[in-house]
Order: sequence, then C-alpha cells, then structure tokens
Amino acid sequence: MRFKSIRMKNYRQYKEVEIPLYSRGNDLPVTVIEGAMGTGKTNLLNAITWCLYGKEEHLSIRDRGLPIINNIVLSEMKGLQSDTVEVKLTVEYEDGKTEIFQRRQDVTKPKGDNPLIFGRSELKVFIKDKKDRDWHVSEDPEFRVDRVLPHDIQEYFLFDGERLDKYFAGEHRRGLKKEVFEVSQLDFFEKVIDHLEKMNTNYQKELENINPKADEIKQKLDRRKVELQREKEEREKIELKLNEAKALEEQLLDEVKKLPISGEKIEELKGQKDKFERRLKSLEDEIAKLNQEKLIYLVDYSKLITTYQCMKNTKEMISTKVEKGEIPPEFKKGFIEKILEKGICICGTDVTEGQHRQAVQRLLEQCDELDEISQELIREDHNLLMLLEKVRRFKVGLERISRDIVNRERDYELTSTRLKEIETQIFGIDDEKVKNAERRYKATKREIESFADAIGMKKQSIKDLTNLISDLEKAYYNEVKKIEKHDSVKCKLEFSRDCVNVSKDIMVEVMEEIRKAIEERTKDQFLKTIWKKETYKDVRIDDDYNISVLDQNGMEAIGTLSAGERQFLALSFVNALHMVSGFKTPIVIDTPLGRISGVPKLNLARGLTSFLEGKQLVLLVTDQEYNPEVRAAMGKSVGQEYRIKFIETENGSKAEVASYEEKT
Amino acid sequence: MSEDVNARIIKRIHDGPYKKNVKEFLLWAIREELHKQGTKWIYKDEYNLKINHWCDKETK
Repeated sequence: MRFKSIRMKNYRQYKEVEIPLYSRGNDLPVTVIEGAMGTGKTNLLNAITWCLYGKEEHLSIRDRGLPIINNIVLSEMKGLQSDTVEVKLTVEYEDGKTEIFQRRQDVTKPKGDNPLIFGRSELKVFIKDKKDRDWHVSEDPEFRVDRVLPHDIQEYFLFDGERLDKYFAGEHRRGLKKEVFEVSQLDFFEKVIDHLEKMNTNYQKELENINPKADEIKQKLDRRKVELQREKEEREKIELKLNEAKALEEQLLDEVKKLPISGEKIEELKGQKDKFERRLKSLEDEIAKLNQEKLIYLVDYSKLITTYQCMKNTKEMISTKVEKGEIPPEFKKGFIEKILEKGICICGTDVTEGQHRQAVQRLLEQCDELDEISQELIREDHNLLMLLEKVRRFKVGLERISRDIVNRERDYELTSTRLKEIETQIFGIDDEKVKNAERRYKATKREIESFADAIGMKKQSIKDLTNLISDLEKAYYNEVKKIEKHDSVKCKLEFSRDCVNVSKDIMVEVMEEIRKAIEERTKDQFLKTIWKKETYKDVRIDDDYNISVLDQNGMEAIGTLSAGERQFLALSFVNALHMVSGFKTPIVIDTPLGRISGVPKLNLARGLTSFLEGKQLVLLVTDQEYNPEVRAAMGKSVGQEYRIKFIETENGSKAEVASYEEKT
Repeated sequence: MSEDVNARIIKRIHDGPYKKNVKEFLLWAIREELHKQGTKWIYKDEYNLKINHWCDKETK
C-alpha cells in the first residue's frame, strides 16, 4: 500500500497544494519533505489524520487557535461567503486498486466580528479497481478507512519523531503490551472471547433458571396410570360380579314370589300367635283368679247371708229398745256416786247409811252392768248396721266379679279363635326355607347395592385419576419442553465453552508467537543496524513487554543508550509492531532526526531505510535534520524529495511545495 | 486490514485439532468482529443464532 499523493485545498498553510508521494516506476520507498520550523510540516501529518478521521491529531499549540481554513482565503472572503476546506489522500494498493479519501468542510464567514461558521466535515471515498474506468463512491467510508489504518493504531504509523525517544520511558512503557494488542489487532479476537464468555454467562444463568422435573412427574404419571389401569380392571371385575348378582337376584326374586307367605308375614303371624298365646295364658290366670276371688267372696258372705235374718232381728230389737229409751239407761253412775259421796239424795233423803244407802249402792252396782250392756248394744247396733249394709252390697260385688269372669272368658274364646286362625295360616309352612330364600334375596340385593356403590366409587376414582393424569401429562409436556430447552441451552453452553477454551488456547499461543516475533524482529533490526555492534549483544522482551538491551557482558544496558540509540530501538520495536500488525500502511514521521546529531544521526538515517522492506516512509524533516550528509546517507532509498516554501503576503501566509532540486 | 495476526489465528483455528463446528463458528465470529468493527451491533443475538445453528446441527 502506498500513499500516492496528498492534495490540500484551503487547509491551513496549504491553499492549493498537491504532493505526489509515490510514482509507479520509482520503487524507492522514502519520500522526504523538508521544511523549516513553522512552515507546515506537521500540518501535513494533520492533513492526513484530518482526512482519514476528521481529527488533527498533531496540532501545535499555535495552530490550535487558528481556523482550519487558510488565512489568505479567509481574508479574501466577504461576509456570508463560504468556501471549502478539502484534503484528498490517494492510496494505491498492490493489486492496482486506488482509493481517494476526500474530506471536505464548508466554512462560512459571518458578517462583522462574529465567529466563523463551520459546516459538518464529510468523508467520501472514491474507489477504482485496476480494471475499472469509472470511480464509484463507497457506501461505508469509515470501513474503508479502517481497512487502510484503524484510528486506534494510527499513532504507530503517523507520528512525531520525538515520540520515539520516550517510547520505553515511564507511563508509555507500561502501556506497551496494550499497544501491541491494539497494533496486532488481537483485540478482535479478544472481543470474540469476551463475547463468547458473556454468552457463556448468559447460558449458565439461563440454565440455572431451567430446572426440569420431568423425571419426577413421569414417575408420578406412570404410577397414576398403573393405578388407573388397576381401578379400571377392578371396576370391570365388580361389574362382572354385579351382573352375576343381578341374575341371581332375578332368580331369587322368582323364588320369593313363589313363596305362599312372606317371611315377614310369618314373623308377624308368629308374633301375633305368641301374643295371643300369652294373652290366653294371662286370661286363664285372670279367670282362675276371679273364680278364686268369687269363691272367697261367696265364702266371706256366706256367714253374713246365713246370719242375715238374725242380725236383722237383733237390730230391730235394739232399735226398739232405743226407741223405748231402755237403752241407754237414764241414770248415770257418776251421779249416783256423787249422791253416795254427799250422802243425800236429790230428793233430800239421807243416804249416808241405812237401807237408802244400800239401795243406792245396789243401784250403783246395777248401774255398771246396765251401762256396759247398753254400750255394747249400741256398738253392736252400729256393727249390725254395717253388716246389713254389706250384705245389701253383696249382689253388686258378686255381679261385678261374675261379669269380669264372663268378659275374660269371652276374650279368651275370641283370642283362641284368632290363635287358631293364625295357626291355620302358618300350618305346614317351612318358615326357615322362606326366611332363607328371603335372606338370600336380600343379601343379593345388598350385594348389588354394595357393588353399585363400589362401581360408583371406582368411576369417581377413575374420573379423578383421569383428570390427574391429564394434568400430569400437561405438566410433563411442559417439563419435557423444559428439558428440550435445557438440553438446547446446555448444548449451547458446552459449545460456547469449547469455543472459549479453544480461543483462549489459541490466544495464548498467538500472543506468545507475537511476543517472540516482536522480540526477534526488534533484536534483529536493532543489532543489524546499530553502529555499536560490539557493545550490544541481545534484545529481550518479556511477557509484559518489558524490553531489555543486554551488553557484551549480558548486563542490562537500556539505561545507557544514547538518545539516538533509544530512538533507534524504538523504531526497531515500531517496525516489529508493523510487521506483526500486517498493515501495509505507509509510515509518516515528523522530525525523525530532530534530537540527534553527528554520527548517530547519520547512522539513524541509514538505519531508517534499511529495514523498510518496501514499506513506504514519508519523512517530514527540517533543513537542519536533512543536511547533505544525511541526504547522502539516505540517498539510495529516497524516491521523492520536496521542500516547503513558506510565503507571507499582506493577507496572510501560505505554503507551497516544490521539488527539492529547485533549491539548488 | 490486519492480515498477519488474524490470518495466523484463522490458520490455527483452521488447522487445529478442534471440532468442525467450533472451528467454523470461530471463523465466523472473527469475520463478524472484523466486519462489524466500530459499529454498534447486537452481538448477543447474532452469536446466539449462530451457536443455536451449530447446536441444532450437532443434535441432528
């Protein structure tokens, strides 16, 4: 790849300049552009970075305050007039393809002292293959830029020579490994690994969230299915038994229907028979008892009845005596005793002694006897009254007992008749046979009911199990889907793990390869072209890209390197990086020999061209750097030489680039 | 365009004793990363799609 030319219009010092950097037929790879300090050398570097990336990466402090548009053009512009800043970099590839990277930006001068108005800078890339006649515009200009030189690594291709001097110092040294990664474009592969690891983490999380329980559910499902099958078989068995029982029931029903009397009726009649028998027995007892009672009654009354007339007469006699006043006697014993005590009768007769007293005493003696008899008679009169009354009630009593006896005898006959009827009804019937038939019939019926109940329960159980199985099947299906997903994610996880492992292995191997290649190349370049060949014997780069230069005694000598030697070591390292990166992009170095003088400068000048291996090198040098000795030292490699002419006018300044020979 | 390092990685992948699907996936991923460089892209979807594709192939 070559930078064929750069064309600048209205860009800073360059009002209208085109610099051919390479021409076919001239294979010498070095282009030297010489210019005094402040003439616009560094802005050539800026023109390239602005063209490719829209950024001026190397802008000096002085230029940072100045507009990008050339100051002469700006001064000639009138109010509200616009002009365009443009840089075109033409790149030619080995296969003959050419690309023109064109960046343009409109600048409008406002009225008065207002600040300039900058339009949006726009990049276009025009492409023409070797065979094509016409140019076509790239749809993805940034992608074309990345193909030439990605922005991230441009600083290793387009840089200030002073940078080389600080290459292995301080902060910069610590970032070398990262830079190697950037330049070698290993970050692409790192991104692959990073993305794969993130995918890996995602799959792991996804896998953790999927926890299939299909086996567990399948076991449950199988158990339930076996259970369902068993229930169905049992239901069929019960149905079979039910049918048999129904047939038996019909048969037994016929038998029962043929029975003369039902067992229940027999039982009822037998119950009645027992009841009647008990009743008859009871009636017999009652009748006997009543007869006994009647007998006793008659015996009791027989004395009264036989003495009835006598009692009646006695009663009448007593009544008559009472009526006559004979009884009770008219005098009282106490009265007589009081007379005897006083000794004088109520009639005034003295009864203290003598016959009168004796008469009263006899009367007193009779009085006791009469009184007792009288009292007895009165009592007996009452008794006789009661007895006579009792005799008068005899008939009623006898009639009652007789009536009771008759009633019970009638009841007895009626009960006997009914008992005989029952006995007639159940006569000759084998009640055990009837009962057995009925018992079997009832047992069969109960069995049928029991079977029907069992079938009902089985049906419900089958229904429940069927529903459960249906639910389990759905759950199982979902779990199976989870398994499929689980397997799929697992497969992806394993696959991404494999990829990560392989990538990391390759990464480690390639990193080591790169390190070795850079070490070897740096060492080779440095030792081949360094002028102190006997002093420095080895260059080593460790895993962290710490660089060592060993002297003839095997001692670390990097600290003793001169500025030129340090710059040369850095250049060797950069060149090794270029080799590793694979980018064929030209190198543009601003002020490459600025800090060195004398022999080292000449050595570096010679060395610069010695390890280019065809790579294009554009050197932006001061006239002091590019002195005749240096020019002579580099002469064999230099194909193009230019000198920047700085022209100051009333309206501003501009730079023009002329052939180097014009000077002489 | 980086040719050396990535070409070296690609060659290693290609010649390495790895599974065919791993090789093809990594080659695809490098191509994509190079192609999509600097652009915003949802690598997850594309990676997943591709990994899925290889897993499907593997299971079939």
